[in-house]
Amino acid sequence: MIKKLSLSLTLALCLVAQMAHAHHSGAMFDRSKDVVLNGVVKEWQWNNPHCWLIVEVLGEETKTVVWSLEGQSPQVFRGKGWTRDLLRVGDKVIVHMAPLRDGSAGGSLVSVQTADGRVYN
Amino acid sequence: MRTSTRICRTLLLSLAPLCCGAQASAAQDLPLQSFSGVWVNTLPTTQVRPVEGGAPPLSLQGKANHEAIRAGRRSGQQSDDARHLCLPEGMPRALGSAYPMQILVTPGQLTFVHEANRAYRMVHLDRPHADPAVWDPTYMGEGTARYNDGVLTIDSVNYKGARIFLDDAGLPVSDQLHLTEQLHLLNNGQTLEDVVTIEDPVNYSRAWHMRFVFARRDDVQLRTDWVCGEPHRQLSSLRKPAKPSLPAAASATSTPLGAAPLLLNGYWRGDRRPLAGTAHIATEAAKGDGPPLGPGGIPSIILTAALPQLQPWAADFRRRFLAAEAQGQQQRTPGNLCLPYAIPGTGVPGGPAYSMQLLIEPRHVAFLYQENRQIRIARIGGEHPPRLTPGWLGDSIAHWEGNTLVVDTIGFNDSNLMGDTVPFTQAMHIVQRLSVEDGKLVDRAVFTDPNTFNQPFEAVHRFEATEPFQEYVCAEDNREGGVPTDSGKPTPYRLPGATTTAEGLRTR
Repeated sequence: MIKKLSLSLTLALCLVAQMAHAHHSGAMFDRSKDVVLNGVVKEWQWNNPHCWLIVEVLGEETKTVVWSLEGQSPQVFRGKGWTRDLLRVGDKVIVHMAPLRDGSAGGSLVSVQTADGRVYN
Repeated sequence: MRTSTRICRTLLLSLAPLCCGAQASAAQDLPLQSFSGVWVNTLPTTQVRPVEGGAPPLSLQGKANHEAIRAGRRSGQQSDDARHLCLPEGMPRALGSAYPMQILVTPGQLTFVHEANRAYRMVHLDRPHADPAVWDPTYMGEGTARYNDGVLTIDSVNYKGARIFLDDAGLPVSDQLHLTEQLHLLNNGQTLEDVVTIEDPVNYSRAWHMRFVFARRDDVQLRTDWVCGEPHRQLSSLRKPAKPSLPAAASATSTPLGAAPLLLNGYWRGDRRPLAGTAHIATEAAKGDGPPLGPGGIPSIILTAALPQLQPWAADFRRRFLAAEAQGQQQRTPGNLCLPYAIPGTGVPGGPAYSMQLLIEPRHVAFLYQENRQIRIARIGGEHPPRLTPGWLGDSIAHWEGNTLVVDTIGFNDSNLMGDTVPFTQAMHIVQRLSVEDGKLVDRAVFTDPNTFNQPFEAVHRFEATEPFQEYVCAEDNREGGVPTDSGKPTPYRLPGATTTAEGLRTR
């Protein structure tokens, strides 16, 4: 009986997951990690299904690393106070992100702190 | 008659014969509801010409932009995303399409649904434009309308100029594009004429006009689950009506609207508060990789009947799906491929940040979902056709039981996923019962698919009224998922490992 209930509950939960759909899962991101980037905005794309923030970060031996960070959709960000004009090329930002599991220079955008000290997440 | 309306009518009558040789008739002062219906362009065009004659009055900058677009297309540097990715054609290009469009008229709003590329635009009556500071530019424009003396005037601004063209040939558009449409009905409501005034000071040296003429085709049912790479309608089927369309006035008043439909009309999103007295299942599945949910999550699906179990093949699919995701392998789903994956009775696609609009007409009910620009249109009355072509959104018919709208849907394809993880078969049958209770929209849906579930089950969603939503165009720039870009040619989507038997039952 317990097993049956467990299976049923699992099914119910996976149906609920419909509501949690956010265009795609975050399977490729390691959300157990919080990586902080100090960088400069190279590009800010306010697009569906995901916004993208491209940031240049000074790496080791003065080499610049370009990070591609996937954000939420404009609709989701809009509800949190973000706007399409929030970031401009050249802006200094502090970014929190969950990195890609494969180690490449990308991740899931968690928050941005703009030059005026405001934090958007 | 107001002076401006007189000018509009004079313009319409004087311009009409210039373009297509059509007989100009006097605009008929029919009720606004007479615009409701399915319309097919009588002379689809890929290259527009001004009603005034000659070539479009391109400015110097416009000529340079036009040449750059044409050169870019030749070299492959310039993409026509409406053709390559099935993104919305934008305005007024969408009006020139050979595929049908449907106009829905509901209190305070006209909604234009274009079959091609799953595009729709809402036009609000007698309301100022939205604040462009908070309303993002769109492919289809942000329009307001007024209706006087038989002439429907739509004023549209805030276009995504860099992403759309005036026609297939690539006439340029800037974000300063301003369209003024004058629509009126002719021939006792059987013909719709739309004269469009183009103003774009960047690309054109003066205002100029396009004219589109549509025939009423209420015998045609829109296919709203248009997907790139899948077979579309044979356009030859649109050449002759199977039967004469109903006169507009008669069709619009055949089923008088009562109070209940007016209550159902509107924008809705998932209510975060639980239903009192009912067990609910809310948050656990949404943790982890899903988007952040508010406190308590969304108790959107509530099983009120006995809990179902998956049949072994579906359970196995789901186990493999989740195992792959747990290993960091993002799985391809209809949702993340920008496909129309909205399953009736399972809530608003996209989650709590998104909403839908219900549009109730005497003969149709439309569900407009923001995410992935999905559209379902159910016919009120009638029966399912005896032979159905399975589709993403199925075939829906509806009827009223008192104040409850009952929507019956069958005819699904076998490629979709319920809850993003559970496949189901073409045997799926969903019956929704929609009503408004204490100001909330309540959707009780019974799901029956013996190939997938061991028994029918019922789910309940509750929605709260919300504000109009903005246009959502999936995969504008983000080329992740399965939306193809490199080849420029979309490919059909199939669930990995799916096969179909002669009976249509998917097995693995």
